[in-house]
Amino acid sequence: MDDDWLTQGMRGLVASAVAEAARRGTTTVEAEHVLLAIVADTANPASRALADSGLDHQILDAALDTERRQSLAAAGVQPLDPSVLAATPRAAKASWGASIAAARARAGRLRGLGHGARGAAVGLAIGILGADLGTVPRALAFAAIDRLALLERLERARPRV
Amino acid sequence: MASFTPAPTGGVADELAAVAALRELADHLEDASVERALRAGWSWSDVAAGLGVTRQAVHKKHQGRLAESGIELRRRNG
Repeated sequence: MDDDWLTQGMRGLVASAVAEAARRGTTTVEAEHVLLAIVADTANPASRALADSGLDHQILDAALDTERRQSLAAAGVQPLDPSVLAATPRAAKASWGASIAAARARAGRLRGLGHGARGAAVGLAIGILGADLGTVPRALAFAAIDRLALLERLERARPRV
Repeated sequence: MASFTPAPTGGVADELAAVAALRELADHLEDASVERALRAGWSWSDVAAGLGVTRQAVHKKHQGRLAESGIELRRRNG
């Protein structure tokens, strides 16, 4: 994985996002895995802001499960028993998916985040929640969580420099 | 002309998300079923024939993760 993130003090967040992706059965790290990592780290300001607005790790994880189930149902497919899908994980190195690349690009266009992990995590969360389409906005919609309200709350949590 | 932003759920958004979810499900099912077949004594060639791909393709994709997993992989007949 490329890693200019690591220079922003985000090594822990990257490792956590890779672990979230693996737990959900993939080596491709997408926006939802990074958002799971952000909300799991209750010490960061983005996590606190999102928790204030009703989004924590447990709620997001359940919302992502619902999104996956609803998406399969749209094709007439019922979920398989997890035991049918149990497998040794793939040995491939983790890579970034398209949704997190787009979120990082949105975060990169934000001004005034300052340097360091605090501002970077808030900026990244804004970048992730700025997507109108895809897994994260679908999961939030199915969970009846107001994505724009989350964005407003994150804007208030942005460090001012 | 006003810009149009589609809703993330319903209609064609659900169809597109279904494609992504089906791909993911197919990948997971492939990993699990290839492993079950090899544990049951299938050769790589048998697994490849079952999947409708070449032996080289299935070996390249799965050998790495299964080599260390304690499965006694059959070498004879591939």
